[in-house]
Amino acid sequence: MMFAAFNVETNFPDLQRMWEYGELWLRKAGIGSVIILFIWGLWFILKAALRDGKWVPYGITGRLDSEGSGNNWRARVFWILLGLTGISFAVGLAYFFYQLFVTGDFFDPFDIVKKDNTPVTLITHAIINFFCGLALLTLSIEFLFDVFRFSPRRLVAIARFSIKEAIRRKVLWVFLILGVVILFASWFITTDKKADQWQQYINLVFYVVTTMVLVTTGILACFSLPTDIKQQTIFTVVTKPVQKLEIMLGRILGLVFLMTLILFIAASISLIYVARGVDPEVAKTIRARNVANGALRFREIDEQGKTIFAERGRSSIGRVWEYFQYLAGGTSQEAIWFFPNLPAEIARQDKVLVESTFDIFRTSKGGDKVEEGVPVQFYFVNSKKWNNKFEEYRNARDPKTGLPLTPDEKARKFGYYELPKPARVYDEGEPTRVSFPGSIMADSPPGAVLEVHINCRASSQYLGVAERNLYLLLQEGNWVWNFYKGMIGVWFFMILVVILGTVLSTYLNAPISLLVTILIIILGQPAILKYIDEQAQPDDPVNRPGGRVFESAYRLANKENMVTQLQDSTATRAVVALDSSTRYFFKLIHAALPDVDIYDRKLFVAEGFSIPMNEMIAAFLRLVMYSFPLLLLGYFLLSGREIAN
Amino acid sequence: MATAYQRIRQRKVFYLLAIVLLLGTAYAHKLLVIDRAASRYDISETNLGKVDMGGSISRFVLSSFRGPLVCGLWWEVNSLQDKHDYKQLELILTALTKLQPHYKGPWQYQGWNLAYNVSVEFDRIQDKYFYVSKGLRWLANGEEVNRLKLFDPNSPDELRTIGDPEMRSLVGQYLSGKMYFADEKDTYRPLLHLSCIPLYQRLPSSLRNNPEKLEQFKSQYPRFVRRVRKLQNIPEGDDDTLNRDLLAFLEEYKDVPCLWKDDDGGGLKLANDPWPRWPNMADREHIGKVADKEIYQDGLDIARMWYEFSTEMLPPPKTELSEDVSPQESKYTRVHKHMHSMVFRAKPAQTQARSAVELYSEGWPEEAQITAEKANSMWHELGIACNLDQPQSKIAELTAKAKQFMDKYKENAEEQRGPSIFLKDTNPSEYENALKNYKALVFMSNWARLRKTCRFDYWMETTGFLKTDVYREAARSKYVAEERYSDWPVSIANYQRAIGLLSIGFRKPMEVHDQLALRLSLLAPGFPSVLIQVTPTVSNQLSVYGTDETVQRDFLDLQEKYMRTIARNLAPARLQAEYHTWVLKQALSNSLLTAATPYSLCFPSIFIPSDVVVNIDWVEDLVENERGPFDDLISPSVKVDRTRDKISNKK
Repeated sequence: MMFAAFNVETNFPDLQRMWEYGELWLRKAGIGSVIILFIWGLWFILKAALRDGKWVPYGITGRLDSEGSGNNWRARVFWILLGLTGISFAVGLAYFFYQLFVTGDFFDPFDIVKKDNTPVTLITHAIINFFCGLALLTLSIEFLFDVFRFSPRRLVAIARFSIKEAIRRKVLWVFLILGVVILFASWFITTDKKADQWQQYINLVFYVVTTMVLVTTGILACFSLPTDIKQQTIFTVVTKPVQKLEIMLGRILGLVFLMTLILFIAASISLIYVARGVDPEVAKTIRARNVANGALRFREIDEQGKTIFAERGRSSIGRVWEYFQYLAGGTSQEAIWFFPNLPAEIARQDKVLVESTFDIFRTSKGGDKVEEGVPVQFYFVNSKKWNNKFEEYRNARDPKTGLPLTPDEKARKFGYYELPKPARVYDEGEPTRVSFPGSIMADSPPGAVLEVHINCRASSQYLGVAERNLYLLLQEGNWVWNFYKGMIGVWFFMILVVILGTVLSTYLNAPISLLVTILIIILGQPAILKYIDEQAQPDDPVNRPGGRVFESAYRLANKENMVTQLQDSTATRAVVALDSSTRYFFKLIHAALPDVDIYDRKLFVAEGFSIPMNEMIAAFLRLVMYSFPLLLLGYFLLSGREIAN
Repeated sequence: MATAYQRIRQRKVFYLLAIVLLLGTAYAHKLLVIDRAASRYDISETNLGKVDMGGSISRFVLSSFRGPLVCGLWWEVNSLQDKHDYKQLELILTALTKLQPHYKGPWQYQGWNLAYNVSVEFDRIQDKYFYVSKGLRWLANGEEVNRLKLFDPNSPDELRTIGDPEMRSLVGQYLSGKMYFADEKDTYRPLLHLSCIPLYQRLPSSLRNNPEKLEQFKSQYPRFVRRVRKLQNIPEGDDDTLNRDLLAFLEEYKDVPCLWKDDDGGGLKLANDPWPRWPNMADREHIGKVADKEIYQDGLDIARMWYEFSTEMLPPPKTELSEDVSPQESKYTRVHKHMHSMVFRAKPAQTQARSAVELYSEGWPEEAQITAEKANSMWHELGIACNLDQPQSKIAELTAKAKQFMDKYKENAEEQRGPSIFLKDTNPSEYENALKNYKALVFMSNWARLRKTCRFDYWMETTGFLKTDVYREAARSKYVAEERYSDWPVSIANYQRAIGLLSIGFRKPMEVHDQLALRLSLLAPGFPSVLIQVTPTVSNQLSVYGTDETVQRDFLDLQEKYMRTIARNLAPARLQAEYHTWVLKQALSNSLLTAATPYSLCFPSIFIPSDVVVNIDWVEDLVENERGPFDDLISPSVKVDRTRDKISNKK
């Protein structure tokens, strides 16, 4: 029963889709920058007109004039960028209204360009990307100027200072928590099933280490700067030739370094504890499988005899949880996994193992044979070699000897292989393991894709499939390294908390910073983030009846239920329009929140799957992208504070 | 004159003494006054249930955050249930029960959920059994945690334990339901034996190479062995196959949840979360017997103990049936909220009777008879305790009085209202008389209702018959007949013996003069019915026991099995006879056709197909549907129901 349920619901980022994500990030950041610049512009004009009469802007912070008015190239760069941004903003706005009033389309800048779009659209999107990049550059130009004036020595000095400060605050007592857990953890680990021991240990240590590290980090990050300001010890630093950005980044680096050390020690202790704690029999089964995942599609033959491809299965069994898609048994419905970029050594393997877990929805108990599972047939296809000549395939013989070809030879020749008899699949049971000859991919033309087709053979039973739940086993990885990779996910999360806490504490006082940090982390939980994302989607009266806040309030006040048609009147139209527009507010909120679930990798470690490196790199890039606007915010907040001037 | 240093030291010593004195006094005050008062007024935590240190600390630390956390955890529970993530679900529910130990919802919900919803999601029997046991263990733990300790000056330690009757009865209900009504019951029952037997005694590796030990194991656990034999369809006497399959069974289900720790030393130590559960796990004398005595390894026996345990909490039954008999809760008693109290009270006796029936059907007539005797006495005691067992003369007298009231005060009787108060002033003697009659009416109404509610008559009659030697012998024959179903003559003979004996209980005894006439007629040779030879003293009318529809259904089952066996036995001979008739018919029809048709010579071998295909199945069906020994006695409605069931099963 070990490693039985590997249901990956999180949409982990991977490098192949990073370009798409980066483009979306640029749009969000660019449009956010435009809004900030616009508000700043209004404020600047009002200030000049009503208060000081200074009509020449010297940056957002107003500190670019300190370089001297004679040869102030930095200010000139800012002016040029600001002008270009203003022009591009006007052009963008004109294009938006042109689309709205002339063609009648509502142009949504957050709709990312697709590969199959027309060239015109591609150019439009490239221009929008350029405009967004320009706006972001304008907003962050002062920050970048300061980055180029960094002194590594000053940065390291401040980092060391923050480490010492943290140690003096008894941060190392945090290990006491780990000690307590190690002493009493066995109380919470039930031994009903030995096979579950590893999962329980991993879940426990990951929960404890994550909580321990994040809570400590949050407190240190949120309290560090405000305490310095409150106790006026910061004056000893700001009176030196130190940049404001260096104060913030120095603290971040110091805390990251210290907490990394703590996390590493805690992870190592946990690893030793887990390795010693699990039953020797269980220890032998610990794995870290490197697997290849495919993209899942569905195929069936409709009533007219046409073959239909779909992203989602058509059969619904009415289950609330939509992770699994269902194939009706005894029908033509097939689930197909496409594996486009398989390593070349696959073709040299005698047998390639395929593991899969399924969900079975039974409409009948299946009599005495319920214990024998459900029959499922597997077919393996090389997209570039197989030409659907089944007759030829089945009767293929060696031209020299006249003997029937072996399955391996057939697979090599035709690019097709099917199991001699359907595999037996169990509900909630052990993974189903089948294999196919690697020769199926041998001598393939470039661009060959391996397709794994499955078809449920049991009438009246439904087979639930999911993209991640069928994979090819490539090789066994090192489970110790995999454990540390899981901890690297915690490390990313910890960096996020350090940056959030430090940035917020540049403006807010310590307890409020901590509360806001906690709030942001809570809002970044998958369930809440999904809810916010749903609210940011266009109206969908069928799947999300009742509207959002305004329409719901209107319905409540008029005692109308969620699904009744609203009366057509000016008031209802106004309410619905207002309600529809709130989705942009939710979009903004969604963009500002971190997706913390992508750092949680304990499921992979617990279920014995190696965490893919490309996904880890992608998660780090996401962290960098999320952190940049935060650092920018921190820079402006700290620059605006009296203490720093 | 003390120095400044000495003064400081003296002051410190004084402070220390003062602290010790104050704390000591406060502690003594707590022990002697506060704790006693808390106990007397039932306001200590033990009045809510079992105290758990870990849970108390977590609740204390969480303070007002407990509420939101509990909400979040319940949300998570629902989500995990949807996702079938049962391992995580268990962890979250454990946390929930720590935070809300005295809220019975999570205990009851999860006990039911694990035993009934989660278990059926799995295909393999051992997984199903594991989650059934998990649900029941969960429920039993919840029951234990929710045993209150209330102040009772009459108890030796001034505390009385009060449990929740509903939770207790649910353990019994789920256990008997899963072990005796579930589709997998035939596998669950031997698995329950395995759970009670320590691993070192049933270790297949030690039994495999030691035939002596295997035989000893088989003789020590004959019920278990017989259940495995029936499960694997091994004929009696085929010991080689039995040994092989038994060892395979022990190997396959070696890791089922167990009562005992997996201890290599061979000692009997209770497991951390033992399974199965008895109401009082601290009763080591009883638990100690479980490993060796199979009688304690039965699901119904354990269920009965839980039912008995649950009825302990009920208020004593009201014996004055002429008044309202609804039970009332008091400080030390509890009423089941979702079941009629009479049904609830009857559960132990009912389970005991079921146990006897099961033992008979599994071929243990001697043990079953003893169990039936106990069941009968339990029903009898219940009748006495609830005042249901009344002499016939009293019932006749009260019925007459009730009838008088109904005749005279029809409206009042219909509305269950006593005589009018005005009657008391106008005609006191009539009022007194009417009141007595009214009370008789209420008595009869309650008496009949309570008996009907718990099917008192049925169970009294049934257990009364089950405990007899006649039934025991009938059951023995029936078992042999069913076991040797392929040996038709033996099976038929045993069925006939069983039917004959059972007829004694099913039919009324004959009047004396009829008996005499019958015995005389037996002297005449060639009397056709074998059945009458065996049961010569019964009439052709149903007894009270026989009139019950449940009994009639059982007898119909028996008759069907008997007729099926006869059909299989007679079918080959009957087929030959039918075939000759059929050939004759064909020949006749051919000749008639030949005579009638001028072109017949062109079609000499013309074939007129019959509407019936003569084959062995058809003949078997024919014989099976002939009149059986109980056909005249079984009510038509029972037969109609059976026919309907057969049709729906075929569909």
